[in-house]
Amino acid sequence: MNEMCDILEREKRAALPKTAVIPPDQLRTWIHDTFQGKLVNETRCLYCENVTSRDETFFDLSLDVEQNSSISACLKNFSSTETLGKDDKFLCDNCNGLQEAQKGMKVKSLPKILALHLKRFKYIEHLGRYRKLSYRVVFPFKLKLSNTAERTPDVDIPYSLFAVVVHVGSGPNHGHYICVIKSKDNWLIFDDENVDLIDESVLPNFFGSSREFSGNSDNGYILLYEQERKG
Amino acid sequence: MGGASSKLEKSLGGQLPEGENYYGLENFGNTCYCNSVLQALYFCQPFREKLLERAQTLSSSEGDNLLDCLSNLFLQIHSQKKKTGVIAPKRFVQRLKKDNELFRSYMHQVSLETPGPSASSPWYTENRSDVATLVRDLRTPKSFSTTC
Repeated sequence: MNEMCDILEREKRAALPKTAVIPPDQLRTWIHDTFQGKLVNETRCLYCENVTSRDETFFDLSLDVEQNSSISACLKNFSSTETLGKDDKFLCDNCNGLQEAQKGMKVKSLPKILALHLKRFKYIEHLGRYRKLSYRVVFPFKLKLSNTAERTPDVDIPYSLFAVVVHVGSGPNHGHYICVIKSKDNWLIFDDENVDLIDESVLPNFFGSSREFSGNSDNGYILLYEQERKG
Repeated sequence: MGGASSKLEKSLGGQLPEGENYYGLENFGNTCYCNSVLQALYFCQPFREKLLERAQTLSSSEGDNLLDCLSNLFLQIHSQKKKTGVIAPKRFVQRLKKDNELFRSYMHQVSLETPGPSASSPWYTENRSDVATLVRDLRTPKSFSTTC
């Protein structure tokens, strides 16, 4: 996707007169309009209470997963505040000192298409290799983000799930990927050459397993949500 | 392949939605991840609409970058007369592999310069990016080299 975006940006740049500086919003392409959201990274100095904020754009959100949790819990965790202290103090521009601070990230502008990636492949330090986490993470058909900044526009418009890329298998370097998709009012399963109709009630099978080393290994890995149309 | 598609048509009771084609994608060896992401993107309506528009403007002589290959693939699926079947996303996969080789050889250099806990293993090289997200994964679709 980044590459496709680069291609469009290059084309747009080529179409514009070769002036020295092109404002970034002129290089905005339909890929940005479709997939790009904005995060605000806020750091509050615990000495002078000044808040330093920085915006970051994203095309997708990568979420840490925990056993028996949900997408909302993962998003909450994503936006939880961490305290910077000890060896990791914050240089506050306002009071000009290295201070303890609280840092957190919230969604400031919602993308039309929200891509969520569950970090199910984790590097385990003491094993020296990656492991797959088949944890049960519930994903809803309709999602409203709660980890948003104040005055985020369109925050009340829900997202609907329309695609789930599923990893099948117990390990990170073997297994299989399939895709479950909603098209019109049907759910379909795409497995390479094969396409089949499935019932909506089958989707919870892809949440994951609440027991370690047993049970279901078909787990949702990437979730695509589309913002419902306004009005 | 005929069997599988007619089975789908049967289970839909012969009522396939207007304007929607459902095509399986052939696996070229380890391309199940790529196929899954392609299907997800195909059914992302705003994305598909833009790519179909783009495909209309391409003449057969041009269209060699990844986005063009994807546009052409989407158009190919979209313009099939039969509602179901199987398509081989050959040009797209070739283009992706070609782009990835460049990317991988670059990543390889990086990992040699910064030896990590298992930097010597080729697997580590492939997984260094830890992106594995949909968006970046189109660039590195096999960040986990899954055999399927």
